[in-house]
Order: sequence, then C-alpha cells, then structure tokens
Amino acid sequence: MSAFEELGAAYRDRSIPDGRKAIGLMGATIPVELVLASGAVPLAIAAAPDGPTPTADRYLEDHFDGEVRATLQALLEGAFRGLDLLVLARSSDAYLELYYVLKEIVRLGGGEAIPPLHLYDLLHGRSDANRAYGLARLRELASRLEATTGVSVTSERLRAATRQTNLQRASVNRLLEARRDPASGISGVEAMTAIGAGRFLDLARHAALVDTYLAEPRPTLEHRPRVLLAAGVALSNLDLHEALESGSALVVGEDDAWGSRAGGELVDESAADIFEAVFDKHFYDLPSPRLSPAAARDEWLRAELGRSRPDALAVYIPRSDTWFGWDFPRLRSLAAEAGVPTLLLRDHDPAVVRAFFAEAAHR
Amino acid sequence: MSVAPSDRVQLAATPLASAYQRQWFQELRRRVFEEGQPYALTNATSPHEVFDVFAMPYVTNEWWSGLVAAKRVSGRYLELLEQLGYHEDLPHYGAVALGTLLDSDPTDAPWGGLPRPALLCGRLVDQGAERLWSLMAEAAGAPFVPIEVPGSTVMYPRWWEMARTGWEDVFETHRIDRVVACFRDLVGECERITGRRFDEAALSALLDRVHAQEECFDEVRTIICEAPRLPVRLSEQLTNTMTAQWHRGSEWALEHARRFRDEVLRRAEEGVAAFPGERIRLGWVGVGLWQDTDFYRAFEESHGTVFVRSMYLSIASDGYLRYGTRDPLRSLAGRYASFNETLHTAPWLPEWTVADCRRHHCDGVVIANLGSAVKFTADALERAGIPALVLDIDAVDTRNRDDAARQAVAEFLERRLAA
Repeated sequence: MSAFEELGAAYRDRSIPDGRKAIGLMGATIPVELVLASGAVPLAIAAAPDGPTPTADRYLEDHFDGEVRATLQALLEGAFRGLDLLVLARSSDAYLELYYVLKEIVRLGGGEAIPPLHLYDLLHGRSDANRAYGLARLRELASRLEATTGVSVTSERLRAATRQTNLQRASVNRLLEARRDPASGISGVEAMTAIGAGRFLDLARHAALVDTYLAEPRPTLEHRPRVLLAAGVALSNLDLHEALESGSALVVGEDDAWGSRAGGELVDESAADIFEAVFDKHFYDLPSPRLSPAAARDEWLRAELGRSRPDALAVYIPRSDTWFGWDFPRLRSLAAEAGVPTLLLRDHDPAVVRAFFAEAAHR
Repeated sequence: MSVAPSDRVQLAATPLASAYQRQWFQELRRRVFEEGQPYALTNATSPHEVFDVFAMPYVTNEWWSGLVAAKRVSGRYLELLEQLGYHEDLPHYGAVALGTLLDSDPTDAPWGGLPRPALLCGRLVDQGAERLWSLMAEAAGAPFVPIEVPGSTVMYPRWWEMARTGWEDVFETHRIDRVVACFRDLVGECERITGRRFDEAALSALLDRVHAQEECFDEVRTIICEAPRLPVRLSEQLTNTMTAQWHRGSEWALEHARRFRDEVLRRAEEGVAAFPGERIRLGWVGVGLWQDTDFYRAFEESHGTVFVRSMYLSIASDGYLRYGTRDPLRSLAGRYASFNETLHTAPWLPEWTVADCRRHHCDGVVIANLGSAVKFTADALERAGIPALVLDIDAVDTRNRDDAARQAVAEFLERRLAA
C-alpha cells in the first residue's frame, strides 16, 4: 500500500479505534492537544452526505447542510456509539443547533445511541473579552476530559501533545506549500485526502505518510486553470473538489480547516502558559463561520490570493445558505483587487466550471 | 375569505397606538434631522432600556421591516440587495433596513426613509447577524456594538415557570456575565456619543416601569385565556402590545398598557366577542404577518375561526419580567441572555408553545416556518392533541404575497378541525 493509499483509507474509514478512550470532535476550533493530553484518541466526526437521512430529517429543519444531516443520521444509527464523549464546537451555527437537537432527542428518550455531549462554546468575535471567555471554556473542557478519561491534563502532558500536533502541522504546511505549484502534480482532491486523513490517524504516522507522499513522483498539472476556494460549508468531504476538478480546474487552496487552514502557525511549545498558547492558536489562526470582524475572516484569503496567484476565486454558496451570501460581494471585491475573477457556484456542477474557464480563455 | 375594512379596528386603544407610533417616528426624524440628535439602530432583543436612560432615540430593524412590509415596498429593497450580489435566499427579516440604508433614493420610503444612525447594536442571533449588522454599520458609517451571547448548556423545559425570579439559575451565570460585559460596552459607547454619564438609578426606575407594563400584559393574557370568547383580535393584540413594547418603560407605554388592559377587561366582562360566531380558536407561532394582518381574521366568516394567541403578548410577561436584583444591568442580561433561545430552540419553544396554547384553549396552531425548532414544536403540539399546520411563508417579502397561505389554513381547518 502506497502512502497515499494509506492516507485515503484513513480518510474514508473514519473509524473509532478499539481499546482506548475516544473523543469525537465536531468543529476545527477544538484543540486536539487537550484530547491527546487526556490520554484519549481524538476523532473528527463528520459523516459524508452520500445517502438518505430519514431519521435525521424528522428533527432537522431544512437549512441544515448535508454534513450535519448525515452526521445526525449516523449518530442515531449508532455509528458513534463507541465514543466516550462528543464535543461540539460553536464554530458554526449548525454545530450549536445540532448540540441542541441532540440534547432534545436525549430528553425525549431517543438518545440511546448518542454519546455524552459537551458544548465547547467559543465566541468568535476577536475581542479580549471573548478570548477570556474562551480560555475559561478551554479549562472547562480540560476538566470534562479529565473526568472522562481519568487522566489529568497537566501542562507537561499538554506540552508533549503540542509537540505531536506541531510535527503534524509542519508536515501539512510542507504539503500546502508544494500544492501551490502545479508542477508538484498534487490535485485538490489528493491534497484534501492527505490533509483530512490527519483527523483519523496517529499524528506521527500521519506526518510520516504525508512526507512520503510528497516525495513520490507525480505527473504535472500545469495545464489546468488554478482555483482558490472559499465555501459556505465545511469541506469535510471531496464533493466540491471533485466537481471543480471534473470541470477542468485545479484547486490549489481552500479557506477551510479540512484543507489549507489545517496547518498554519505552530504553537510555541515553550510558552509560559501552554494552555493559553494552545487556545490562542485555535482562537486566532483557525477559520470559523462565526469569526468577526470581516477583516479577520479575510486575512488568510487576501494573503493566499497573493501567494498562490490563482486564475479564479471559486465561491461556493449552497442553495440552503442563510449567511455566507452576505460575504459574497466583499469576497468578489477582494478578488478583483488582486486581479482575480470570481466564479460563483451554487451547485456541484462541473459544467458551470468548464463554461467559466472556456469563456475566460475566449476573452 | 375577504375582510371588510370598516370592521378592522374594534378597540379604542388601537388607533391611539398607531397614532403614537407615527407621531413618535416623526418626532424621531425631527430630533435626528433638525436637531442633529444621535439615534441607534438596534434589534428587538437588544437592551433598549440602555438607550432610554441616555435619552437616545432608537429604531429596531424588526419594527422598520414590519413597517416597510406593511407599506408593501419591501420588495424594492430586497431587489436592490440582489442587484448588489446578495442572493435572494438570504433571510429577509432584518435585511430590509440594510436595503434602506443602501438605497440612494428615499423618495418612496415609508415616512421619508430611515435616517443614518449614530450607533448600531444587535444581538448576534446567528452567524449571518454579525455580517448583516456590520454591513449596515458600514453603510451608515457608524460603530456597531455586538451583543454576543454564549450557548445554553442547561435547558429547563418549563423555563417560564422559573424565569421571573430564578433567571440566574435558569439562564446560567457564566452566560449572564458575558452579556453584562456586552451591555457595559454599549453603555460606554452611549456615554461617548451622548456625552452623558450612565445613570444606574434611572435604569432601575425604568425597569420598575417595564415590570409594571409587562404585568398589565400578563393580565391581558389571563383575561383572553379565561374569556369564553376572544375579546380582542390578534391583529389588535399585536398593534397594542408591540407599540408599547417598542417604547417599554416610558410613561406613555405604561399608560397605554393599562389602557389596553382596561379596555380588554371591560369587553370581557361585558361579554363582547371580537367575532361573535367564534367556533374554532387558533394559535399563531412565529413572527407576525405584519404585511397582511388581515390574515388573522380572514377565517372568521368562512370557518368561524379566530386567531387568539401569538408570542408577542405572551412573551411580554414570560420573557420580560425579571425580578430580584439590585443590579439593573444584570436584570436586563437575565432577560436578554436567552430571549432568542426561548423563542427558537427546543425544548424551550415547544414546551412553552404547548403550555401557552393549552392555556388559550387553542383548537389548532399555525406555525410560520422560520426554520427554528419548528419540527419539534409541531410534534409537541400534535402529541399534546393540538393539530398543527406548518406554513411556509415570508413575513416580510411583499413580492410573494398570494393566497396560498390562506388556502392552506382553510384546508387545515376543514381537514383537521371541522369536527
């Protein structure tokens, strides 16, 4: 099995490991380091929206996206029964609402397959008050993990966990740098697979596999138009990348924690207060639909437009959207300032992508 | 299902409320335009009482949206937003104010248009709210103070039974602490804009008047629930309740709440029914149909049906009365920390709706589908033996007004409640 095949298997399987305490995490702003320091295995919870969700549909309103719908369906069918705790971040409204829905299902007596729940309630406005509030929630989560695993989350253990996550992030950063160059032959689909696998693998193993994958030879992808992606959904599956790349594009980056935002700044392992250092990494360096002000949301995208110099900014606004559309005119202006045209996608339709670039080539 | 215009208003209090609101807005325009006084654009679940203490005028975007919808011109602003690149499926309720602020031609705007606010303050009810408020602030060139409210982790189903005095426990101390901090930010901004110092004693006195006003509404609800037939139509409940609520704590609002209560009480005591042929009583869940309040009486003659209940009167007491603290900002935070959750989240919305509709002796309930806890609420009503109809309807967009909603209610009445 090649490195990429092993990465792909982990990305697809998303299974709960046997024999150790397992903590499910919904939302990228939950520090994996805390879970590792508590002696448990972190596992991202995000089911692929590839089938009917009749049980979930009984509870969820129409505006929930496919990932949340599929995840609730999987939860109710018992797919995550083995979790010792399910932590939901308030990194998006959908996760907060899902937390409320899960609590209500439990209250109504339908929660036998639902693991214990914990809301990691970050407020994402960039203010000192919200940082202080979030730090209190981080310590609250550490206490909950300690109660779940019986292992104290000490500074020493958290520092050791941070060394693991830093190694993984450094490896992901190397992949992100490489994929900006089409000569590397790294497609968006492959990049998302390789990065996303890190949410389901031992961190050191993931870092090693990514580095091995990077060293493997691949045919160049220089003939394809290069796209930077901003989406109004969490990119926890490959559907959007597959649609874009079926439509002739090459996705060289995406403003999403499942993709290009998975690496980023490393945590200062020698920080005087390692809890604060870990918190600040997640508070200041990870994207969230709730992040404000707009300038903070735009920081990465603005910089990445300069770094990767794409042929287009693809903005995906799903039909069920109730919030991301408020950002669209600003994102379009931001791209125009960088001399980059904007491709608006409302569906996963490769034909729209092909038509966009055919017209661009004609011009 | 048509409605005779001459029979629209039955209470003497109703035209007084409408007239006061018009007079107030003209006064607002005079103060803002002619005298240059700063005003705030805010939302219904922000602490208006803080603005009152600073004698700072304010307009709520919900009220403005309702007014624009009632004047049947909301479509113009929604189309403007679409032309600017904001897609048509974004929530309309609240967006009308943005359209108004971005519109360069206020000629057709109700009452001459929305003046530029000096301050914006809104609760971040969802991840779209910060974006919308920030866009409005940018359009107005004014600062925005967000009210950021933590998520709830403890949710007592029958919250309304405890919240008047036990709000600190019901709504969680760490959440209330954070909301108080936001209110202090707002106070600081108001001090900067007005040049006045915050008067805590004045806020306490104002809250006492708010409590007295909401106690009147609590009495009105009891009168309606206990009367054999509905003494005041829902459309007039909405006008009288919400006009006073927009000005809550003012001398006029308290006086009007008393006037409204006394008139409803008199009608009930005299056995006056809003519609003498009442046979079926419906509850309404969700935002009011401000652009079409005739809707609520459209089934009287045809089906002997009256709408008796909405959230507006019931939340006045259950959502606003917060007794038992010497710290008025904390009392306010105890109210607003969970205002949206109680109206949009299970178990709070379904449990409250079932209890309140039972109390109103509702035979059935119509739910305006705003996509928050609607399925839980409809299920809870059905489990309680109260048939529920979920209606896909836009409370603001006047472009989509048609008879489909009326037809759906008529079919619901005939299919589920005719017996």
